[in-house]
Amino acid sequence: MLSIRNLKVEIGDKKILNGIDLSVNAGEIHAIMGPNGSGKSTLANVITGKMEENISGTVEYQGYDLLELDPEERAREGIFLAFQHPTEIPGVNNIYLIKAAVNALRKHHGEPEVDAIDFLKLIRAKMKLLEINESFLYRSVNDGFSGGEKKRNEILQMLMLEPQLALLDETDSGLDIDALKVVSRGVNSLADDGRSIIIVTHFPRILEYIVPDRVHVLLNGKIVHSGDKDTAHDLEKYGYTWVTERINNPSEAVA
Amino acid sequence: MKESPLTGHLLGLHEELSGGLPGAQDATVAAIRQRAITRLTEIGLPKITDEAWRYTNIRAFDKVAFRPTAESNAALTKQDIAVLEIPSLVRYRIVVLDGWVSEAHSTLDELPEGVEFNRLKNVLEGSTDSETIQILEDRTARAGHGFEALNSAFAADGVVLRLQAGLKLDKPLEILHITQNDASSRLANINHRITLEKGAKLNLIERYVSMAETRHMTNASVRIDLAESAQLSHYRIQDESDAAMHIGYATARQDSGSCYQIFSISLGSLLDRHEVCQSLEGADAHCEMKGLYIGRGKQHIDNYTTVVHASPDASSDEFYKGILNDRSRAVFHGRIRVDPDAQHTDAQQQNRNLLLSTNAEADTKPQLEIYADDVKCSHGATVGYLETDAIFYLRSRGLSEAEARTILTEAFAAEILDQIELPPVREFLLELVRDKLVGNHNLKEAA
Repeated sequence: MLSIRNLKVEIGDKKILNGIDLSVNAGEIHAIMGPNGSGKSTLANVITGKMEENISGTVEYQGYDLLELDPEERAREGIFLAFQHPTEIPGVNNIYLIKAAVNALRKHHGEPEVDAIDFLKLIRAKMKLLEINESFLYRSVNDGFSGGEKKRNEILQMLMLEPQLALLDETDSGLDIDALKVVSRGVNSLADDGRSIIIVTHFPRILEYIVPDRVHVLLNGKIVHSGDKDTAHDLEKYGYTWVTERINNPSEAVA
Repeated sequence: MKESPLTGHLLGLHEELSGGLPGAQDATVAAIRQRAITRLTEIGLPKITDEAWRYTNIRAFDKVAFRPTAESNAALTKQDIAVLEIPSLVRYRIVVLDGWVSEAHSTLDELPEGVEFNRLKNVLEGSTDSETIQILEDRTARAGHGFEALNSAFAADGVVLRLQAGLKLDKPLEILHITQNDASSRLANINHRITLEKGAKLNLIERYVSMAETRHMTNASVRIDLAESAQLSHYRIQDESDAAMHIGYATARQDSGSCYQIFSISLGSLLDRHEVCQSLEGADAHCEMKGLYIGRGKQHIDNYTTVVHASPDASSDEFYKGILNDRSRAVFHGRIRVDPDAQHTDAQQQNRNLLLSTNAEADTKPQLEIYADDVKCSHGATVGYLETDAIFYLRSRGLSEAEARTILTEAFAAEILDQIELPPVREFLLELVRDKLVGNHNLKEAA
């Protein structure tokens, strides 16, 4: 699905990503964990095309050289980013955007525009799953939404667009435990053998609800450790310093 | 001082034509016209050295041989007018053709009891309505600009309308101004007077269209008088030829408890100057001034607004937005004056400009003069481009950059248009604005 080789982002002397290697197969859920400033959001920005300059290395996605595609082409080919800070867009109503986005994808795949009734039925079902009120659809995109509402709205869009590769950038931040459960339920409903999900976070809690196949620890722009889901528990227990120490002193690693 | 070529031309024209203007034989009317022409001779048409016209230069029209046309209904068929209709709008209609009220194309017999209608032409010829005559006189007497003097000097026709106390007109009234396709360099001086007696209510659509891209001039005055508790919603839609000059001024006086709402929509003409002068004379009166202007090509759009709070407990809410593409330029001047007696005034003003091109320009100038101490006044102005974060957000959902820009630009306009409470007018304008924005190459370019 996604293959990242020696990915670097350097702005001036500053190395923001310092040689990332990452492979994600279809059907897998990966978590990328790291403290603030470790380069997590930059990685998400490179994959979705928000960042287009100062990049070296390769990103291959379903046979495409991803870095050659425009952001909208990436979206139409099945990449979706749930933003850490979703943008407020006054005057554009939510259902209008979601429908336009669904149709942009359908058009790209040579399919006719979505039937209005089918669309409404489907979105209502997804909203029920995410415990979202109907009025949500007719408000301006993220305009005046609470933090939790914004995150739910991202997941609603994701469920409607059914991406092949979904990136969740700190979707858990600012959510209370009930909201986290609801959002996780939404994400899990998308997961299947054909799709990949990458969860970017610095708290392990979301990984109790969305269980990853692999967990990568990102520090100073580099993946310093990759492990199974238990890595998240270790991080919770010992913190990021533990990982650093383990790298520096492999012999003292926790057994 | 030497007058501009255009002023000179118009003074000469007046000498030639004044004998044939409506009411020319009436001594009162002739005297008013003479005073107006004296004033025009003294001050000339506005120049950029006049503070209120600093950003708006009319010199591009210096050499145009503007000329009023004679009254004629011949050229226009019912079908011609049908294509200009606002779809599915049920309304009363008065057509003004090249500056003359066309009774043949209007639905005057449908107007219900309680609506008094007259043509300014008839008023002038009969000198019957001293109040209306007085208005021409007032305008000449007060220190208005040269276009106002020009208007009084050439005053020929317009709608004189009065709604009797308590009458709530069941349908909107549309005054549709049409410049015909053979009317190149036509000059229309239009004077309307709308009076709402106590408790009356009216939806007024004042609309200007041209049938061809001719270089004509519209010089239009609307004088509004709202008695106690009267309510007027005024939709002013200017969509004239992209080569035209449009000068308009709406002057409204409000008694206590009255409510005036204006949507000033500027879409057409090469040079558009629109003034709204609002005088809140009664306590607890309320006015809302909403504006939307779209500039393309080399269009110049100047909104000059004044709100005078002369009584306590009144409120005004002003919100103008503009979208400027290509080399277009907008000027917004928002003056709010709060008199010493106008305690508890609530006056809000906002002007927001969206530039779609780096060659477009907006100048915005609030001017607050507050002489009372217990008031709530606020103002804000912005000039900016589309937000890159919002564009990226839409692109990340699969929309092209051009689509993203179109959606965001339309949303910017919709914030004003969505407030229009007549659905056919709202839909019509949303569509019209969309048309103006389509084919805008710069929508696709990075701003």
